[in-house]
Amino acid sequence: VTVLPDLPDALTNAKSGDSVAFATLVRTHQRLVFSMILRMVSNRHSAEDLAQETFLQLHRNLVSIETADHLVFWLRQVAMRKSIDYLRCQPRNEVELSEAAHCQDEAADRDPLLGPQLLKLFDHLTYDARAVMLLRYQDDLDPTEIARVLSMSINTVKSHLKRSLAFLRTRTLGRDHSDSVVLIDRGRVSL
Amino acid sequence: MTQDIESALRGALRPVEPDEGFAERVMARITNEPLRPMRPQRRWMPYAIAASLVGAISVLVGTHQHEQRIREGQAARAQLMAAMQMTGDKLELVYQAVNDSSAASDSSTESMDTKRF
Repeated sequence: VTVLPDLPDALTNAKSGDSVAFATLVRTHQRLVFSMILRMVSNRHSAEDLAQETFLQLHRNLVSIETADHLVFWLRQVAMRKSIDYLRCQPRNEVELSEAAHCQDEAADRDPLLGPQLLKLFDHLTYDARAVMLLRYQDDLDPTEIARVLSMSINTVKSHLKRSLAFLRTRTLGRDHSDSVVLIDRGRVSL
Repeated sequence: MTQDIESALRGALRPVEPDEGFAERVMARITNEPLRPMRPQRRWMPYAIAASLVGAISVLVGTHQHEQRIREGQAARAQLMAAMQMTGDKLELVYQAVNDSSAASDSSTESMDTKRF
């Protein structure tokens, strides 16, 4: 996310009750929040609801936000928590095929074969692994930043990255992955 | 191959915009929820709490020491009174003994004088 020059002003004004400034904050960060939640829950309607709730929570806690960087950190953290909480409350294999297809279509223009396959496999990762992979490959955060956002140790983050990449690689290549221990539990895959 | 997977992931997971009017829908939901005015930050609060705790502990320790000194003083006074009582009793005995012996010597002198006359 590129921090706009007037964003600190918008934050200050929003904190003092300026709703136009708060709307600016929403518009600036809606892509970040919505994308993250959409990739986690794979359902556009639920992603919209959760993203709105994230911004409502921001509205209630705006006083505690100190800087523009802190705002981005806070949004990532809350969006991830809301997504994981939502997924934990859902029955297994909740992913709607139409939504999955929609996500795949968006990726297909870059790589017509690998992108859709990766997205399909992505939904089979554990929630934590999915969150780690999203922050790494969607937001380009390094493992230290990911660890801070998800309140994990750096070693756990690195382990999720390594195992998830190995899983995706073996599955997309169609190799024999009998050496990988794959446990299917509540519609997700533990490596 | 790792780089292929990683670049493919970046492509597949690239950010997506929400539907048109997302910000307006968010603002509509918070219309009835006025923004909280910025509260002054009370940075001095932890220091004030710490100072209060230190003060309370000092008062408690001081009170305890004062009461202990009073108790020690009372015990010393009781000991002194007991010692003085014992000394008084001894002196009384000595006084009686001295009186008895002097009375005995007076009576023996009187009998000797009577014999002379």
